[in-house]
Amino acid sequence: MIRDTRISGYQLSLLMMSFIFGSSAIVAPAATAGQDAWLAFILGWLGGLLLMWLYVTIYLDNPSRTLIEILRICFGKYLGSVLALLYIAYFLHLASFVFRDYGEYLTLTTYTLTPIAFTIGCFALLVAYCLKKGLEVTGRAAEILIPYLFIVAIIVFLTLIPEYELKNLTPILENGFAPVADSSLRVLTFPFGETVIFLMIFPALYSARKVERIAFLSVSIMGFTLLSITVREVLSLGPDLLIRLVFPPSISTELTPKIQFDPLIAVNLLLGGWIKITVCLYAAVVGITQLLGLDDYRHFVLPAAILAVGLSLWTFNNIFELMHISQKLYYYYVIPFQVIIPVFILVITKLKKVFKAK
Amino acid sequence: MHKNKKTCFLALVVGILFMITGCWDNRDVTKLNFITALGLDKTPEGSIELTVELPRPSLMGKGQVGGGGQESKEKPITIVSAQGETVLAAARNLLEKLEKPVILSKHELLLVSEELAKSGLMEVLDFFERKPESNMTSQVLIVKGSPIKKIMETESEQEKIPSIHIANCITTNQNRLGSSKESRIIDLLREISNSGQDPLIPTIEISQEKEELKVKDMLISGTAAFRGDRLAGYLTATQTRGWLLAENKAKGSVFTVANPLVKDQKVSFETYRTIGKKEVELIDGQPRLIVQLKVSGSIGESQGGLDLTQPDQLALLQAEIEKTIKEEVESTISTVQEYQTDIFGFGEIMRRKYRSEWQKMKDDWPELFSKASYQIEVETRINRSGYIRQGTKSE
Repeated sequence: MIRDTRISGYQLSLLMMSFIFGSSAIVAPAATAGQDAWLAFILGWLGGLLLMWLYVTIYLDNPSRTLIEILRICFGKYLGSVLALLYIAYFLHLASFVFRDYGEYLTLTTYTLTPIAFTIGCFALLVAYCLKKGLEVTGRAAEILIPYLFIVAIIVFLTLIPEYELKNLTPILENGFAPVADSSLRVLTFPFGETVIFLMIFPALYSARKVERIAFLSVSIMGFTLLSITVREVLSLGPDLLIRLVFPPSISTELTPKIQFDPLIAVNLLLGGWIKITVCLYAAVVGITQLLGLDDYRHFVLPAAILAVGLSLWTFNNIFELMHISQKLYYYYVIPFQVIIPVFILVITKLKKVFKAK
Repeated sequence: MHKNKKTCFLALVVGILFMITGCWDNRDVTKLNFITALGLDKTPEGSIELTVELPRPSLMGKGQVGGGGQESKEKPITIVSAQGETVLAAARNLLEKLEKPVILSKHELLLVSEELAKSGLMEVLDFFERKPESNMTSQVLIVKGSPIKKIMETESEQEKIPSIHIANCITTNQNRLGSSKESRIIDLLREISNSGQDPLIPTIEISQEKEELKVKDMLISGTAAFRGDRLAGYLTATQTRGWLLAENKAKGSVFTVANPLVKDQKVSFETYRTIGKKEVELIDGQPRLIVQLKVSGSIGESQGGLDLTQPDQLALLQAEIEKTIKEEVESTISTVQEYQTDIFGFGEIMRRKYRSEWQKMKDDWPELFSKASYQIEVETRINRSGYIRQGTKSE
């Protein structure tokens, strides 16, 4: 079943772009750098392009193979399986993170009285349904819905123009380079480094060569979109307010007189979050299926979804823990998955080729 | 297996039916009170008094009730107030008097009393920063000399809801007269947290005491200068205009100057476009505040006859106008230097221009600012004088 999944190039690019968008527009990963957020974002974006090159190269060396299979080829059956298991756990944890972000935003702004478990649970049901139907169906649904994401981003950007004050970007590097470096590391790991998950999705594209072009195009386009969103936040809110806000777009969208764009941002989050969680859970269940040597992943969809929901409720007691971990500890945790192991894979694959040539 | 699936499905449908009947967060618009204005005051005991203006929709559309052309005596708005230790506590205590909960996202005006302004605005502004769906673009006004309830009970003859009338007055005033300025909650928050800029908030006071106050008996003119979030002093209408000129926010106003040729006669100069630039220069480590104004306009009215086609008369008038404007701005700067409030944002300019010096100066900036020397340059251009060159002379 996994072998038969086919999505078009356009669908893959939409999946990648909305995955990268994910919950970044709400969380604004570069916000901790204040007025230099744009600089931190660009640095993280460049790093993200580099990581994308790494992942694409790994894929091109092992065409039509998912990450799990690549791990087993590189590291052997036993170590590879252990690493595969770790990656599956990482994907599930990622899904639970996005669930929690999504739930917290909705509970804070709109659904104050609704238990967060219910909000997340409803969303999880939707994602589980999508997965049961398959990646192709999700891809087609994305074709219809994801363009809306860009339209909203453009609308909000344009309507806030009267609020922009260019002096909010200066003075540049007022607090030195350290906060920028910290922030750019955060941008690199969230959301760009998470594209490692697409090593599970790339095999669904018929032509392996096209993957390279689609991957770079997606990272570039979405990077530019997120940069414009970051700049929009800095210009309209100013550095001081930006750093203190939990979810920056919630106040910047309140600034348009008479009209409130808050619901549009929530819909954007819904679209981005939906694709991100679907991709994460898809990667997780496909990984489990391949690890166990089975063929049909649909058995594992509901258990994985329930597990992700449970994790999202259990890992953090309140929003402060969520923010603290995502700002201070998250990037250390994910660097092995996003950077270290893929670098090893690349090195080992290249060495193997060299040995084979001899 | 098939039967099992069917029962499962039915159970799911029934379960969902139960869930749809009541929503946790269902907020029926008819069951909510929309607030159009808020007033915050501090009681002598130290708690916050929150006053809200509630429009009454049933009376919005009708001006006359009953036969025979009798006007409805009922006011289109109601004023309710409650006290609490914090703004949120006061807002909840309001529910003791209201039948429906309030929604804050549509208010246009926030009135703050002098006492509260003196003790610090952040006491009450934190509530607005934190609350989701609060209106960050609503105008803030400081109420001078009267209790807030009195101001909020005024009626308007031009609008059904007086707070909308007041909010519109402020905007029109800033654009056409220059004796007031807009100040939204979000601008206020930004200015308070900025060490190089202090807030300037418009004021409102009763100018004519009457039994039934109308908005036209109010004076929405002049502003209040703050140091951080505490009230430092007041600026008159002309001083406010001086501020607007320097801030490049003066869109149009009328300057009345003495007629240079005829004693005791006045000439009114109407401006359309003014460009104001502020600069700071460090001379020997001391800041020097520089304001450069370019004012252009036309003669709107002249008493005592003036023939502006004569270049020397034109030059005299121009000099007179420049002197008047310069004195206005000087008055503003010297007053705020006395108050030690940098409402112009010269500190902000320092921060961008002299980055390392600012880091050393920013803690002492109020004092340094108050002792700084200043220099005001005004350039005037009289473009036109209306339809006539010279007024009718009485022979």
